[in-house]
Order: sequence, then structure tokens, then C-alpha cells
Amino acid sequence: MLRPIVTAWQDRAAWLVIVLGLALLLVPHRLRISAAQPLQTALLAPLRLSTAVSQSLHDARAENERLSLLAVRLAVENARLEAASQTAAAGPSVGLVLTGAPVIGRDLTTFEHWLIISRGSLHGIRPGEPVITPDGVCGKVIACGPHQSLVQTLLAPESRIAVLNIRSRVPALARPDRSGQLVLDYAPKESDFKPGDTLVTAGIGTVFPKGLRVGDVTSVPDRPEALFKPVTIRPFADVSRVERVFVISLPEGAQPDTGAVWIENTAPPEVTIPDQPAGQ
Amino acid sequence: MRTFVAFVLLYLLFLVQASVTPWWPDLVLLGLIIVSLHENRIASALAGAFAGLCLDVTSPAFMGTHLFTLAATGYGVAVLRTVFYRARWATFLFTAIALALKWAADGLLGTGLPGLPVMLVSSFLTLLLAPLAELSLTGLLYHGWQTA
Repeated sequence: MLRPIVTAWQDRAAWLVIVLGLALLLVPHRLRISAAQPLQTALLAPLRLSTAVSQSLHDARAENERLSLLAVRLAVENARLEAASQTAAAGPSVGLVLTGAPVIGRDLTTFEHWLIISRGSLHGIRPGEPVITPDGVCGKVIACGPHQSLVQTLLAPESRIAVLNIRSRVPALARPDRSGQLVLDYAPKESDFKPGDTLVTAGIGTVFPKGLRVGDVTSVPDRPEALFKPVTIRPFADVSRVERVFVISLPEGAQPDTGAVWIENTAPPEVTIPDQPAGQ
Repeated sequence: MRTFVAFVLLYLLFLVQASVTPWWPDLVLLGLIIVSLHENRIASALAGAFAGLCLDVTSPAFMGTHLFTLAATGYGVAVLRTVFYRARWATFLFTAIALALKWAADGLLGTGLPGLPVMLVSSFLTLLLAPLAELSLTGLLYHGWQTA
């Protein structure tokens, strides 16, 4: 038999709670929302916390994965550099000398093909030695007088320089074009060159030591009909404005390294340079 | 102490309920029905009010809907359980009635009905889970406790 519901005090209290719920529905909308906000913050705090912890864990895992990949890459790079360093240490070492030289003359047609510098054989400079600027390779010495030398720049039509892409390690031969830039000759169509790649001297071209900065790739146009990849390079050194260069020389009496470091195989042209530039 | 643990359990069920989709079974309702099968009338009504308040904060614009519905459910189960003393199908019946009350309150007073597929799936899963919830929660909360 059912006991009368509303008789006991428990029943009255329970009904009170139920009526309270109904009464809440009659409270104005805005008041209900403002009253619920602190309750919401308190009651949902564990959920928010768990979401934040879960997000942090997810971020930490992603970061851990990224750093692991980076560690692997760095380990590979470290091993490569160690191998390169051991190879370099095993070979003969030659102390190179940098000789600073102001530019005192230029060719009068383009200002870019030839430079005259105010250092010569009396300063230890010899034909065939590379000439650089703080930005990158500038050219090479092709003739020396006692006090002056003639420098053939990278942009001289006869200039050729072996370069190496430091990202993809692809070697190629660079020559100047008529727009003050360099282009690559004989770069295979499958070779990996992208705009922005930095090129350094390859050390296989007999004049320049390996690793001197030459320029960066500005464009690799897609020409299906071309036999080789047309890669255009902007030289780092602005030879039309350079005012001071450095000649890389071997110390007196030292023999040049073989292989990638230093080979001099180009005979200097028969050029006679006066001790003082013309007109001075 | 037992009642306090029951409230904590309902809060934990609410946290789970708040973080899953509407297709899930109504865990808070199931928990409340099981608690109300063992607590006295006022504790059942208060447990329902607490569970309803928790659910109401997720939709503050309709605050009071769940509080009213679940307080009535808790009280109703505590009253009706004496009629069906320990009958196994009583839990099914209570759950079905509570679900009907809940959907009616949602439709008439609350946020509105979620759509027939969601209602059917959620109700079916809730009914399916009812015996299991009774067995597990009764074993967890009410075995080994000294009754007052």
C-alpha cells in the first residue's frame, strides 16, 4: 500500500527542492545567466583542467617528435662534419695569407670585368691567386707588376668558376652572362637547384679553395627543351662597386695543396702592367 | 558518508557526460536512478537537484530545467521503489519513465529536442546500460555499507 507522499518531512523537503527547480525557470533570463557563471566556472574546472593538460601533453609530444627529428638530423650533420674535419686534418695544411688591396682602377667599358689593385709581386701576390671581398668571391689575379696586379672578376667573359650547391652538394660550372649575373653551364636537368640555394666554390676548378661564398640562385626557369638546367646566380660580391679586396696567397716558399684545396694550372696571360695606373 | 560518495559519483558522471556527444547514454540519469534506489527520499531529491544543477550550468539560459527534472526523477524513484520491491524490471521502467520525463522537459522547457536519431540511440543505449549500471554501481556504492 502506498504511503501518503506529502505527509513525512522528507517528502515536504523533497517537494520543496522540486518546486525550487520550477521556480528557477521563472527567474529572469539575464539573472539566470549571471548566476550560473560562477557555478559554471567551479563545476567545469576539472574539465577545463583536463583539456588544458591534454593539450599540453599533445603539444609536448609534437615538440618531442620535432626535437627528436632535429637531433637525428644534427647527429647526421655532426658525423658528416667530423668526417670532413678528419679528412682535412689528414691532408697537408698550408697557412694562407690574406693581403688587403685597394682597387685603384677598372676597365673603362663595363667597370666590372677587370680591376687593378695596388698590391703586386713585391707584396707576395702571384698570378692565379683568388681575390675575395667580405661578401664573397670577386675574381682572380691574372697578372702582376711589382706594385700592382690585374684582377679578372667573376663577370669577365672569360671567367669560369666551379661551384657547389651547399644544400644539395651538386657541383657545376658557372660563367657570367651579359646581365651582370652568373649562369650555370652543364647542370644536368635532374640536378637539384632551387631559388635561394647558396653556392660556394667547389674546390675542383684549380684556382679557388673550396668553400668560398660565390652567390645564391635567383631563378631556375622551367625550359623543357633545354639540354641542361638554366640556373641563374646572383654573385654575393658586387664587383662594380667594390673598393677593397683581399688576395688569398700562399706563404713564401710554401707549396700549394693538391686536389680540392689549391691547384694552379692556368698560365697568366702576357699582360704588362705599369707601376702606376694610366693617367696618375 | 555514503550519500556524499554518491554525490561525488554523480559529479564524476556529469564530467564524463559533459565531455561526450549527445549520442552517448545518459550516464547522469542512470547514476541518479541507481542512487535513488538506495537513498531516502530527500537524499534522492537532493542528488537529483545537484545532478540537474550540474547539467544546467552547461546551458545557463535554461537553468532549472534539469534541476527540476532530475529532482523529480530522484524523488519519484525513491517513492516508487517501494511499489516494485527489488524487481529487476523496475530499473528498466524507472529509466524509461525518467527518459520520457527528461525529453519532455527538454522539449517544453529546455534547449529543445536534439533530433529523433539522437534521442532514439541515446535512449536505447541508456536502457541497455541500465541493468549493468545497477549491478556495478550497487556493488560499488552500497555493498558493505552499514545502513543507517
